[in-house]
Amino acid sequence: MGSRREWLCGVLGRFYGKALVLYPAAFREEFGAEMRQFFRDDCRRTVRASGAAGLLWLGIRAVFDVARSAPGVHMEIVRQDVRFAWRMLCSAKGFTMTAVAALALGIGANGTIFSLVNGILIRPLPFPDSGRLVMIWDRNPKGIERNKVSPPNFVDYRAGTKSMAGVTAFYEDTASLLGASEPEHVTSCLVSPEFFDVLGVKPLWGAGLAGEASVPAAVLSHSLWERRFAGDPGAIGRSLRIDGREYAIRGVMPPDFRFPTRETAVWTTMPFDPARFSRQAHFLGVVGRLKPGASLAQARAELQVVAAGMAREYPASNRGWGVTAVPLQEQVVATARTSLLVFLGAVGFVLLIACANTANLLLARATQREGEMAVRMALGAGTVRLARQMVTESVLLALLGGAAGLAVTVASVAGLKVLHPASIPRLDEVTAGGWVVAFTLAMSLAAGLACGLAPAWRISRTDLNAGLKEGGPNRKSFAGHGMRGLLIMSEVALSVLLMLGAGLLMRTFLHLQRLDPGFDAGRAVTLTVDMPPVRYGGAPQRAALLEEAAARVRALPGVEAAGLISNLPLTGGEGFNRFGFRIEGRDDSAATGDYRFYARWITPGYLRGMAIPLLRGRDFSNADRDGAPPVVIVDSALASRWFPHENPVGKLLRLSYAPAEPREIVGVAREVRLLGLDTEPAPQIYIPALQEARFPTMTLVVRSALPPEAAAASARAALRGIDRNLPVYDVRPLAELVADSIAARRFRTLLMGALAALALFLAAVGVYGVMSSMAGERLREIGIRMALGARRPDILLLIVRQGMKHALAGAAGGLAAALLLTRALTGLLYGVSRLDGWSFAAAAATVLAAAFLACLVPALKAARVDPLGALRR
Amino acid sequence: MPSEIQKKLPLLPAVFHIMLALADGEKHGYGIKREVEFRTGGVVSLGPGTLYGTLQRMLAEELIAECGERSDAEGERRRYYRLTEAGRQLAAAEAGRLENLVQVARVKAILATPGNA
Repeated sequence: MGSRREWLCGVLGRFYGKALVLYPAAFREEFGAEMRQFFRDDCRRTVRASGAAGLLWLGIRAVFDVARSAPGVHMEIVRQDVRFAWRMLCSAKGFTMTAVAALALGIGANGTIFSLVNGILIRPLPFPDSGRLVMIWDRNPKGIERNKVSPPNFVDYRAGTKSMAGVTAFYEDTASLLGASEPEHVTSCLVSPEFFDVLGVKPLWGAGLAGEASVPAAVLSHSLWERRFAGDPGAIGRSLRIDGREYAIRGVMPPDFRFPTRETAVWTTMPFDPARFSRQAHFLGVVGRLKPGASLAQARAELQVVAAGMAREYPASNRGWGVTAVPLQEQVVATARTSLLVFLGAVGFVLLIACANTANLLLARATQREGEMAVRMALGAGTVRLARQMVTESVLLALLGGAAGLAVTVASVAGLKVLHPASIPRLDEVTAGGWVVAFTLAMSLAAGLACGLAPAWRISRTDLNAGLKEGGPNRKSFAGHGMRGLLIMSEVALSVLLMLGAGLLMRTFLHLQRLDPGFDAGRAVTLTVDMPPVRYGGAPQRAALLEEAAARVRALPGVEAAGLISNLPLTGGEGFNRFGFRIEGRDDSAATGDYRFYARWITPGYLRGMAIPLLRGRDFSNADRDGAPPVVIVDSALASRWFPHENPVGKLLRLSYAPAEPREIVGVAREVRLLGLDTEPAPQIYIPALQEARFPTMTLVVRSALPPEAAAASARAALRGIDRNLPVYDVRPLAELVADSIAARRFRTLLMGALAALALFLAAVGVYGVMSSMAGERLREIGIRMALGARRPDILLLIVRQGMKHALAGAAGGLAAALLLTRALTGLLYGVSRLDGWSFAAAAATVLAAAFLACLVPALKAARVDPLGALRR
Repeated sequence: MPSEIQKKLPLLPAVFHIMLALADGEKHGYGIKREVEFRTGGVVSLGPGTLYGTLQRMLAEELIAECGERSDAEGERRRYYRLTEAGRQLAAAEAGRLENLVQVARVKAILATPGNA
């Protein structure tokens, strides 16, 4: 053969050698040399037979050969690894089940929180092109960004924004439905006519509210339509009596339309001209839809121009006010965002602990299997192949865990929906769907790789000779010890973090529960009464009913006090009842700005019913009625702010909603946390409901020695005794109302507590696992120590100390990390510092106690070992 | 015939060719290729990737086994492979399957019966 041909063969051979990279390393290790030899043989034979042209042909065929066979070889190795891994997992059932259970809990918890995050924060709102919907707020002079909008401001915003295709306003109210069937009390929403067009949702049947109408129009929710009209499309055009007025039913919304809330049952047009309303009455929610191509920034700029114009034109009401615009989605989920992100972090930690557990189990097994691995290596299996085998095992394990975790996710999402904490917006839209499955798969793969890395690294450093010496103490095991110590540390650190999070939330919750709301929630029940306008259309009729109701209930056996109020503290909807006031005889030029209060209309007996102490002056009496001199009671929050050094009783106030007549302060009541337990008491003024019977809906408070059910039943009977057709609803103990007001916090605290408990459990199991295997590996050493005179307590101490050294380091690390990480919790805490010493100490102590127990059990086992038996091993 | 063997049928052509090549004694990789090429008149030409990919799978399934390394006639070190008992049974099963098919083809006069040609 010519030397040129020889050279050509050499070049081709080298190229072929390079191409072998496309095969898996394990395959290359096994067959690479042979394949190169094979190719060389082929080259030589081809050259001999058909010269250089043949070589070219051979080269081309080799390219195809590699391309065709390499993927199959890859698959084959994976298949073999999986089959082998499956056999290993099946043969060690206890190990497999423990690891799968830990991973299933970790992955399932992640899947659950991700379902929430996906359904609530990520998925667009269920409106067409919902990304273009924008919520508009008045920004008040004190810097509160999101104030409800006053009706005339809304009209100006609507007129002044060219970047918006439409702007609509709405506010929530309650309504009594009367008619053929039972009187029913529902949540209603009063809207401007373009409401449904701006949201972009067409009614399922009929039309929306746009256009002129001779009678007031109403659109029904799907569930109300099914309930009251048995789903009959013929309901369109029929009439419905809402609060005593006739409304023509214009349309029925689809079942998934739930705006502004899922409870909203009926939408009607606002019964007033917004342009003629007070600019100081901020109670409208406003939503705009950006035109295609228009940006939020553009809309904001336009709105700012409008707001600046209003401030110039109406300084009395609008000076200092501005405007805020945020995407609707951000608005809807704003309350849930912080806690969801915190929980996403928390479940991430739980999964890390589960991974650490599994990694440790795998590591312990890798140590046990050192002999087997050494044999396989001696038989020619490469370290890459064995490491790959370990990773395959852990990925398979994690995928099994993921499958079980998905079941956990589906179950807990279903459970959450059953519990349905009112505090989670959009919970109806949460499903464990495709994205959740994809997320779970990705989590499982990541967890599998993470768990497999430690044992794979361990295998890759197995010392062949040491491994083959049967039962001999393996020096390299100490490297394994180091890694397992690290696992204990991280498990302890992570669970300290979660425990601390749960502790801080718990302390916040307990603090709120112990907090004095300003009234006594025990032994009182509340009932809400509707006074249908047909029979109680005027203030005199309503006042008469209120007086009669309070008197009759007060006369019931066991009743200590009873009275009515326009709306109870802690129930929200405060935008309506906030007004300005002036103090007669005081010259305050800035009277419009700061002088604001929350108004409450009450009957005599309400304050005693709530056990709100009267600090000065007198309570209202039945003599404080229409025609008598107007009077008010202020609360101590108002008194201490505006009358710090004088007695307010006897002073005269003018209220902005009816500034003509001065009202005399006749009493000072103690302040109440009316906006929420976690909000400082705000200035309040009580107005006699008998003097100003403005509201068709009032809530009765009954303080009674009887059990709540009995008290409520007799009060209801007394009301029915006055008027058989009076709708009475929302009957519940006052304590329940207080509890409901912190339901969101209770839910968060419980969820975080559950995650922390899960973390603690996993970490304890993990530490136990590590210590058991480490103690098991030291049995021989223990035997020697005992033979040399060590006593059982010494052995106990030896093992416990080894474990607790790592646990203490981990707890210290966890606390150090907490100094930074608790910052994420700040928004969720109240009355407790994020660096609360007690919580830090308790979290560390709890986890260390669990770790101690987890070390103690294997230590006791080790101390009980028979020294002779151990030595013989 | 045990159903376990039946389940593995039909065999991939490359697998059956390799089995046939090893049926009359152990061979090294290149030797297998030569034998197959020779027997099929060059129609079937196994490339190195295809051959060793298949060998690897057959080793894992214990249809063939290695019988160590030794020098060939030209003095090069090579690894030799042999057919295992399981491999031989499977090859026989595949041959039987093909024989049945050929029988059918004859009955249906797609293939001429030998001797009648």
